[in-house]
Amino acid sequence: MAALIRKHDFELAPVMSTLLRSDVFFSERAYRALVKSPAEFVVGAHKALGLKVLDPSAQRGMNQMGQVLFYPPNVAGWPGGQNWVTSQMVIARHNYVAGLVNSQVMAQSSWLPSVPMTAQPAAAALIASILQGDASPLATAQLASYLNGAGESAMGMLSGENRDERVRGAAYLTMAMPAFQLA
Amino acid sequence: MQRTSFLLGALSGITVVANADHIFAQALAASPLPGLPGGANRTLLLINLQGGNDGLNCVVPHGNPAYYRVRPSLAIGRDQVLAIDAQLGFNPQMRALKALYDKGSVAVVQGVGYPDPDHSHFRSTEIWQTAAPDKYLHTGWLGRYMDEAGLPADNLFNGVALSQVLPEVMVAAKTDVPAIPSERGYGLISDRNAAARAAYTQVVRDARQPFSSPYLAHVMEIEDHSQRGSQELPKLIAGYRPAGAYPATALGRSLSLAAQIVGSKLGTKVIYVQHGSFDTHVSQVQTQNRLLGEFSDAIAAFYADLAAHGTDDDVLTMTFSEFGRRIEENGSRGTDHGEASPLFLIGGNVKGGMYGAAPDLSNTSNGNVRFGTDFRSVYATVLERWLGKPSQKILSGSFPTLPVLA
Repeated sequence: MAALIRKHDFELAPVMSTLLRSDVFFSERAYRALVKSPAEFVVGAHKALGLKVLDPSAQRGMNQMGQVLFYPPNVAGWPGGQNWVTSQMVIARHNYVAGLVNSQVMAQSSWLPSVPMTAQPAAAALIASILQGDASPLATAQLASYLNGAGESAMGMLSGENRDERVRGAAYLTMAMPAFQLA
Repeated sequence: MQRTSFLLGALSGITVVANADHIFAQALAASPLPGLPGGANRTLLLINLQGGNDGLNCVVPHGNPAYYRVRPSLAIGRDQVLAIDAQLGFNPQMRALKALYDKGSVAVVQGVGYPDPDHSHFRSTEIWQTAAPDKYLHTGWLGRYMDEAGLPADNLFNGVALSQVLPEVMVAAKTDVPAIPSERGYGLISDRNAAARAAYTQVVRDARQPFSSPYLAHVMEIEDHSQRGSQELPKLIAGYRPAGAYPATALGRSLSLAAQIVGSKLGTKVIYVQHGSFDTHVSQVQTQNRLLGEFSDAIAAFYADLAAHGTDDDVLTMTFSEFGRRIEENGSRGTDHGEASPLFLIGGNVKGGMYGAAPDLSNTSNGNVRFGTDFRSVYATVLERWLGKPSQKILSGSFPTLPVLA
């Protein structure tokens, strides 16, 4: 890596490009070997949904996930890792995303119309863009059948049955999957 | 005697001995340390009187003329105080708690605090919850208790926090503690809809993950707890009927749920509840009196309910607050952050009465009540005499216990 940096005269872009495509980066030791902090989780959820505006409930959501922003427990910061995963914090993460997919900022985004119109391609697109493909074929098929409207209405808080609603529900399910908690 | 019957007799004798061993082993298992109690059904209810409860207007030194000098607008009149004796009495809103005190079920430990007290809500709350005044810990003292106690790993309710967010005191290294704001408010929003719940179970909890990660097993286990816990709890506590009405307050609802959890015998050892805010910088009397009245009424309803179910001896209630308040009132008919304050231990096994030195209003710590009893002494008492666990490791030190439990 050092040689690469010198070779490119301290230009970082080509170095990062090599790093991010390297076997080490995708090695078992490094792959999804970090638990996302609440800040990373909230920002990641916004990015996954193409949201450019921060949902106003983000701060309250993060507090419930255990991270009061700019207010770490002490000078050492948050302990991180496994400490971000208790059942209370997981419920807070999932319920935050359930709110986010039904939020005003979501309604105004161009992400929803960009999802394919039919169930299977839509499920594949969600798994690819949100989880980088990290879901089993069976889970992807189950997500497609959910998008198809097997069962009744999608999210508990919505009434009526339509495509947008199911895509919102499917986005929630995708972000509730284990892979999305890990980076 | 025939040889066979002699042999059979000897064999049955061996059987008896083996059984006795078994019974002895069971007795040992029930009492983790010789000499320490720790009944299987014992529960600790911890109530956080959050915001800094003013001790002087809670347990009122009505026999001390200095109290009336330093609190010209806030002092509670001698005719108002619920007198315990010529010196001390309860806040007039604590009638129901006074009745429990008169029955001998309430111990008041006065002047509880710690050396070099911190006056910030945030840090002092953290100190009380982690039981570490001189260092930063990531686990709470009850979290460490749960980790140490050898509680069944498959019980999702070894400890429960009846709050929106898990408080630091319940944070454990090895025990997953759910936060249950209310029976209805606990769980996944998506579970409220049958199709979404079914899809969640199929999609999210699919065991075939196509990648590996050092945290994957943990994340999947906790996702399982999250959904299973909130689906099971309502079923587990559905059979419990409160014996009487609870006050229609947040604390009343929390304690009603606490009684339901205790009465349903889920094996829950510690329950956390919070009540407040007691941060009475301005117009203290209205706020604090209302909060103390709510506390007193909810506690009375709780113990009446437990008593009707025969479980009032199984629950020890302990209160704490991050600090007391300054001795002198401020210019806004309130009081500012102080130091030591009293706490309450309530329950059928409590030896009722007053413990610890009453606040000295002349020998102060820069205008605050000096502490006489280290809060970790109270914790050590609860750990050793109630929960039956040695306290030294959990509290990182030895603290003398108080004779407050029968």
